[in-house]
Amino acid sequence: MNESIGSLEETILLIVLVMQEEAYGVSVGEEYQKRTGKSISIPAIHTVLKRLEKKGFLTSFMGGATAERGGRKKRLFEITRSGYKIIAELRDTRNDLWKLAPQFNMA
Amino acid sequence: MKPSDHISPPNWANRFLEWYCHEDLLDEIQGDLFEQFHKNQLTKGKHVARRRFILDVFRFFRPSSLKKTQIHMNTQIISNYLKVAFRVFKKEKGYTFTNILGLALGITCSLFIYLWIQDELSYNQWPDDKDKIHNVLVNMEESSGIIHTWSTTPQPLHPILQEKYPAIEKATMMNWGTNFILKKGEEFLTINGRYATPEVFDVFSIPFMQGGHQMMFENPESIAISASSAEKYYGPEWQSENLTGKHITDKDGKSFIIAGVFKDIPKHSTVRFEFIIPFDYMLSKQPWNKHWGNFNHSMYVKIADGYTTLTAQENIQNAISENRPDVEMTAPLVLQPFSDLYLFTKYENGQQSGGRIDYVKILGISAILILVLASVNFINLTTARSSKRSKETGIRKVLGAQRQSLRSQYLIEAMLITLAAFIVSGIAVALLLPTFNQLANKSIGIEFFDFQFILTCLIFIFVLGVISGLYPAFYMAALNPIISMKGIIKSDHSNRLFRKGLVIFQFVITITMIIGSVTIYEQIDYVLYKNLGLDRDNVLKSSIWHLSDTQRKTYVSRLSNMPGIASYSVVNQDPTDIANSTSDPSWPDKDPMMDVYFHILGVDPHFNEMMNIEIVAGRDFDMNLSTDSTGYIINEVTASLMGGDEALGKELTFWDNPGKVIGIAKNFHIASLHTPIEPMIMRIDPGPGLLLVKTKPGEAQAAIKSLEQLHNEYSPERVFGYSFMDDDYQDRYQSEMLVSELMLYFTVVAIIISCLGLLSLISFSTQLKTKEIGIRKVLGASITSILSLVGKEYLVLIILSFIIASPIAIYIMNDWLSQYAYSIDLNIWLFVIAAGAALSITLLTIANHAIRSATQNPVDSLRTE
Repeated sequence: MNESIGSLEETILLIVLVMQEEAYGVSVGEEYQKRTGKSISIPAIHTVLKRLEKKGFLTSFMGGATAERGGRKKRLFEITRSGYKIIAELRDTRNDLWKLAPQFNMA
Repeated sequence: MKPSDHISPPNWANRFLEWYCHEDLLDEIQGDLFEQFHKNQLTKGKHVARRRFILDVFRFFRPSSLKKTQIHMNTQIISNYLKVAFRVFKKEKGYTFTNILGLALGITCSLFIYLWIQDELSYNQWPDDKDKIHNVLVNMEESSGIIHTWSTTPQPLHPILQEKYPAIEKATMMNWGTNFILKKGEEFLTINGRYATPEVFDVFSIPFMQGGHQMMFENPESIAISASSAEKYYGPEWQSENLTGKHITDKDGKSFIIAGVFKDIPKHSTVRFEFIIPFDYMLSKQPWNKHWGNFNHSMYVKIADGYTTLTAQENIQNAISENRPDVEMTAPLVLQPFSDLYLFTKYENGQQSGGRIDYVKILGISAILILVLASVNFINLTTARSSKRSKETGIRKVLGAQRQSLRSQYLIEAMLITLAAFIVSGIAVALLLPTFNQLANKSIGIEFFDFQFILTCLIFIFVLGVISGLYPAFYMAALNPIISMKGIIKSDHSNRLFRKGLVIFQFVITITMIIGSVTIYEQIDYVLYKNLGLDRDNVLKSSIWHLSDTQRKTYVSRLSNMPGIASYSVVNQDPTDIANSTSDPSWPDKDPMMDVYFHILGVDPHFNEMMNIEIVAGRDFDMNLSTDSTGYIINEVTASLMGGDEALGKELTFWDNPGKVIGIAKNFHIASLHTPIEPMIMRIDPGPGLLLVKTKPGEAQAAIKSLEQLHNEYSPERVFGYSFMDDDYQDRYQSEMLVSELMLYFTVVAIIISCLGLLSLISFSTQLKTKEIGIRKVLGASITSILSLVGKEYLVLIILSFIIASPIAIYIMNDWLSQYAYSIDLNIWLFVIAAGAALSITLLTIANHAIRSATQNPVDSLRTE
């Protein structure tokens, strides 16, 4: 699989991976805002999740409904093996690169 | 949570979401949006939550979340539709041709009218603050209760309006026009302009290219000229030097200092001038204009910020009655927006009552009607053809095509035909535009590749395509496949009824248009050739106001010996178009409450004889009686006000000139036929003068030559100008003549379109009846009986539409004729002609087709079985 992945996609994929509770549109959006401080709209999250699922990095199934959702079911997402693999690869590549980076005095 | 706390997201947005969203995705999308809404509402308030919700609903409105049925048209299917459509067009050439031709005719007509209306609407739209500029009108009430609306105001009103009334930011007063003759080398150059107060440049926001109008306030002998007249006089390089401060001299040696050069006024304007000389200059020459009683000049104002037309009008309404010191008078002022001046010219009893806008409306409605006719044609043809394609439709259905896709197939075909028709009419418009411009006396150009034009056309094609294609599409898609594959549609009663209804509808419009255009044509004909009470044939007009008194005397006296001239007379204005009026005339037993306006015509003693005006009582002016300078000849309307025949010999005084009525002239028309003949008084006062020359029959050219020769002798610096009284008279009805002519063309187009529709319907129904006709012939039916078999049905329709159309036409045309004080009557012959025309056209259409099938050898039609 040589699907490429964008940085927003990568972040969302990581969030889905680390999330303790159910990962679906609203909860992923909240988590994203909590972690990055940036807000994101529901339609945007849906687009990213869909794309990730289409690329095979996520898989989904329909979950339970709550009253505040007007009785509508959730689509719950889980990371797949290839999804895990690609972010791990990305992390390794970065780490390798970082090792080569010269020391940079931030102060 | 209490139910009352529960605030739900906007219902319409939610419904929209449910409408477009794919069922499989609705749960997650709607659920997430609800949940988010709920959370937003707690943290950010309900307004933010609602706004976010609506925004998100629209963000989700994208192909991936749409219902499958809404994107059923993928490219493959569309290309298949196109392929089938072109095959059908190819196979049914006649049908396609009729369809495109009908639509193209309709579209061409409406495109022309669209261009014409656009051009009409673009008048007076040029000033920056066009909504603030107004023309000041005065409502003068007669004792009889009739209100005359004048567009002239007295001079003293100008400073008062500007200074005393907060609603007026700036006001300018101008005369009706004057010219300025420059001498450039040996040639004379005439430019047309006005005397106006310098505020004219503020009111109309006319920019200066050089200098400004400041100097004009201080120096009455200054002048501002337009860029094009600067170019005319100083050559194309005029901008290279500063013209401000230069002197410009007219042919009499009068010199003016140039205050500035202003940008040319656009062509589409009711107020145009090539130069402005301060109004004060004219006042110094004609001081009598500085009088409250002289309503001579037009006034334009710019209203101040914060005022609307209405509030400003309220503010200045009584400006005359509040400020006129000498006489008490109520003459309320009315403000008319500058942008309305071109189209809304008529005032009746102080109220706006149309004008050119009436013609814009008439033509606009006709354009729409013709488009409707064309699309009705389309609907009719397509539904009639449905049997031909019922097998195709049936098979498509059997193979699983849904109604939706069938509908879009037929809609696409309709769009294609509309598009083709549009292209055809685009070419036609481009080719015919010069002819149209000539006809309408305009210079319209089209920018075919203008974005807005293309967009308008695309929308137009789409709308027209949908209108014409919708019914056929729904009808075809709803056919029962079993029946349609059998090719039976005869049983379909409602469809036939619908088509008959459409034919009636078409012919109602067409017959109404026939009656309408014939009526308009007859009325215009009546107006143009009516006996006005004076003989206006072979009368030449030439103005001689520039001659001095002595020059005029010798000039005129030499006329009688010149070739081509039968007789002549000097008057102060065109007797068929008298403008001025006064309420001043009085006589001994005049009712003091009577307040009527009289028109005054200044003539010389030859006038009545030359114009063949009948004197019904008393006598004509006699040039040998010097006392006749205080003798008046009145028309019959004035006479009736003065006591009928007793008026003769009565003393009559106006403008401080006591005199006597010496004759009563038969009424002749002194204004347009829209208005009744009004009171008029003739007196000996040819004034500076308009020369009327009656030419000897057939010697008009010789007479013109004679006049020109004299003119060149006396005033070579002026261009010799003349016109025929008859032409001038016709010119005043130009817009009427244009509408009459356009209506005739429209009617012809309407007839053609309706006939195209009828023709193809009949050809279709005879095709259906081919076998029936064959069998009848075998059994011995005559050609006539077969003709009546086919034709009967349609003749009934035409007669029915005539019965419906007549009252409609009578109503509309009576309304139209009522704007004329003198008009024709709608007579029975008109309707006979219209009915006859419609019937004979129908018969011809029917006969053409039916005879072919009736004379066909029955063997051919029956053999196929």
